[in-house]
Amino acid sequence: MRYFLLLFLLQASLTAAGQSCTLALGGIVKDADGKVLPGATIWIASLEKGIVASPDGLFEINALCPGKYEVEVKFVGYETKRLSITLPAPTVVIVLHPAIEVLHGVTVEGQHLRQHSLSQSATILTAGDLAVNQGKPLGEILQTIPGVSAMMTGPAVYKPVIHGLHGQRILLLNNGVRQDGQQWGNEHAPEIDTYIASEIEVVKGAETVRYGADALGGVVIVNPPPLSYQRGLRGELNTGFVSNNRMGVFSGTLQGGFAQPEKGSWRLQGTVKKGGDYHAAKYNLSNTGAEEIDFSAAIGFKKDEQGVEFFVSSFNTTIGILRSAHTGSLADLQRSVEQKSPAYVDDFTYRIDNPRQQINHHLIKVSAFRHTPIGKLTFLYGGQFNQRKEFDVRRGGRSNKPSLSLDLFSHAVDVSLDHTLGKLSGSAGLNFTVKDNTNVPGTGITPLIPDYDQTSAGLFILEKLRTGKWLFEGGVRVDHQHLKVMTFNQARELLKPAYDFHFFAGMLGISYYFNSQARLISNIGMSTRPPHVSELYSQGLHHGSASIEQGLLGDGDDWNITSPVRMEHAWKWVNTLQLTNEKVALEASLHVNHIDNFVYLQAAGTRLTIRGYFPFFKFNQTDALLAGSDVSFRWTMSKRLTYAGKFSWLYANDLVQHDRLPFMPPPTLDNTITLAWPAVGKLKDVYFALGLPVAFKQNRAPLTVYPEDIPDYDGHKNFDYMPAPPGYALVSAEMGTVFPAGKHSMTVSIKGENLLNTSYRNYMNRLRYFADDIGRNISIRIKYDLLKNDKPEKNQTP
Amino acid sequence: MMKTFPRSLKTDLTILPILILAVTIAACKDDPQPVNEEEVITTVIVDLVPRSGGNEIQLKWYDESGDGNPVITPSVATLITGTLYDAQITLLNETVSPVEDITEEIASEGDDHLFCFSVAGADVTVAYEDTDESGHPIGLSTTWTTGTGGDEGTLTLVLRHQPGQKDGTCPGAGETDVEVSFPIQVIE
Repeated sequence: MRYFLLLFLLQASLTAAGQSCTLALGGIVKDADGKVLPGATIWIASLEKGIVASPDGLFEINALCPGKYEVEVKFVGYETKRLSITLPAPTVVIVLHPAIEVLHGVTVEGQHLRQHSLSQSATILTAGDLAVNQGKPLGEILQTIPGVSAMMTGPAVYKPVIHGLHGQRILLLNNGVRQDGQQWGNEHAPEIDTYIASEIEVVKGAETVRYGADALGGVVIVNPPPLSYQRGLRGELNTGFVSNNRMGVFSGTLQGGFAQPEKGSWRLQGTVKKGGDYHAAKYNLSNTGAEEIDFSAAIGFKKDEQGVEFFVSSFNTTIGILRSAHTGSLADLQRSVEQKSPAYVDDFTYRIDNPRQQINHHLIKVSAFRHTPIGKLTFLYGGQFNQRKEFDVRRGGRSNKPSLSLDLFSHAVDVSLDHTLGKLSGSAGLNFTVKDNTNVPGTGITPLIPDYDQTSAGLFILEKLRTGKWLFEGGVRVDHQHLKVMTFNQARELLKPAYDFHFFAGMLGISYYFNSQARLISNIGMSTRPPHVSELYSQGLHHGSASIEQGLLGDGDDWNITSPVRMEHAWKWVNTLQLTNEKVALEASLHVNHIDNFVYLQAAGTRLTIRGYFPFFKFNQTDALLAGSDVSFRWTMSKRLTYAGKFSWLYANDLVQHDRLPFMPPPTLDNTITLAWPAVGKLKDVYFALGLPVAFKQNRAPLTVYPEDIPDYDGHKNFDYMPAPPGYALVSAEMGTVFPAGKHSMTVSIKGENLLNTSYRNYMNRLRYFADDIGRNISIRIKYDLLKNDKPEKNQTP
Repeated sequence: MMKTFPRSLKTDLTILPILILAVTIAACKDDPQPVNEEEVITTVIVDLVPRSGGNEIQLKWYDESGDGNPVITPSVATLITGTLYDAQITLLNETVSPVEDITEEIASEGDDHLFCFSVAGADVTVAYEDTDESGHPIGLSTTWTTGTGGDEGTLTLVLRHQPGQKDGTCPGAGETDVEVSFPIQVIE
């Protein structure tokens, strides 16, 4: 069963070379559910020697002398375990238990990640972090990570933003498959059911070598739990109730293993969600309801040297967009900016009217692996079908006709080979993707983005070298992309321009352990990204922002299909220092991203239409600098009391025009104090937490030009319709516990957000011109574990 | 709809060629057709008829393509002091043949629509002459009453679309479907 060569991370410089020092300490690290914990660190302090468990949880420390050793086993999200082991000894099974303090403050350690480079700055949201936020949109949950924010379109649409970048510059990896939706739209949120995930990782550096151009700004990795090949049936039921929008969520998972015909495992999962209008502190946010029905199924088979898994999932949602945010003209927008509350406020309802979005996303995935003499060969196919329909308020009985209707088929094939050669280990592979985007006829509106076919292929190699306290990483990638666009000119003639892009990405990184408590990681990535079809060829009127947009290839009223297309070139450098000891855990990172030919929407005058004047925005390219810092800090004051703080800050500048960039996140500071008891009577893991999230004012917001002044504005500077809203601090509280319910266990948590019912507007919310953000919100979450094979836990089997 | 997804897959890597084939099939498709833009209003006409006789006036706002660069006639509309005009609004979509009369659509959806009028720099008062089923004004038919003469001013006409939200007040909730301004002057 040992497919993987063990990964030596730390090596003592002084190892006694005695004759008898040939013993090994080997074993496996698991959690209480039997899930292996790859990446757990096993550390012998007296020898300053340690190792990281391999992807199958195994470890082995060699060249040890006989004797008694104090061994420390650590893993993010789990309580550190100290064992005393006398060698020689047979292999040990080490079982770690979740650490409650860690679950409620994000702890950052990139060490156990296996889907990205080890020198990257990354944050993991564990099952515990996810549990207290379940039912919320993915983008809202991710905001708990320093450096990650969300561009919102009202209270139900969150688009993840990493260090100021979003959309086509952020890759979402859903169960190993790159999510292919209509990411170009600012009001298009990722189509992912968060109940699927047992863990979400966010990589804040450029991972373009492994994943291609879309990962220029970072990667969000949504990981379901691995299929458990243990026999027996088990499951989990989740329910949640949210007061603000009177939402109910139900989600269930059932899984089992079987032994015939091969070693097999299956899992079924489903989620149903229904919420009505959200409520700001002082008024109802009419037409902000949402509903969602999702399901997924997985089945896997494993033999000694190979395995295969099949996965299907379906995500279906309808989301209402604030009725008052549908504007027809600049005069409408001006009124919204002046008024304190939205023009249309009605009583609470579960009904979802126009404007609304209806999205269906289906995924089929096949993955297989085989161990070869060279290493592990992995094959992955992902097929996706994304259907997006947007309904507007329309005349003449057209409201049931979508204003935008897009079908996107995509196929991705990834083949990779992980290999190890002495101190050198790495991965090489190829990615192949095909996308087919079609505007479904019958909208009666010129599409915002044209039909297109896109084919791309990439080849990469990533290598790691471990030597002593150092780890060096490097990688290169070459890509080819073929894009065929089908659009129309003013004379309604079909144009079929085609583009070929060849591009390159490279990465270098280091990781250095000063000692077992301090580590420095640094990663520099060079990325190239061809503009997306939406940046080249978008056209039309956006109702939410009352603006007319035109793509990079727009020329007057028409297209210039032959004008040269410049690719974005980015250099992103992220440096992170991690310090941990018994009392304090600190992670501080500094990042700089310099992007040449940065694609953005530039103000380009106004147009007088039958609805009055509209600002006209044209996609343009400039050189941009984005730099900032993320800090997270955890202080264990006593056995019971923990403080967790998170701070992030970003500076963004247009280097050509010396101008500010729109929609860049303001600084934020998050404070949480947690009081925890391992057991109170029959209750386990009792905790109470008080939070004070603070958002500062964006002092580098672009120039303010009120809608009524737009017709007289002839500059090209970036502008916003309203000054940045003032900063705000909200008060939140949370409590939870686990209690036995018969043979099973039940986890209950209650969370209150914006407890003082503060009226505020979030700078990153695109609907802040129209309404406040949401008011007080109390939510209750209950998780019921149906574990039939509860065996007494064995900590150690010497 | 998942037309290209293989139905059965063996637990072996031999599926790779099948998948690549499926991918290739998906890459072929028909050419799209240009969209016939609906809901376009190219033309706003206001016909003014003096009730006690005299010269009729036609104000016209015309945007050929429906996406900007309008022609507004006359350059300044001259109204006579102390006169009551009956005003009738006509909306057209002239991008299609035959020309589509949007006025009927507005009249039949009178409960959802409201014309709002504002005058700046001229002595003209606009009064509603029509109502919808709920008794709220629509504004397709109005009277324009002129006062004393003066300099050139502007009359702005806004069509508000307020499905389920109309309460008869201007501008009220909803969004703007039409917003055009005509230069006017009241003379002796």
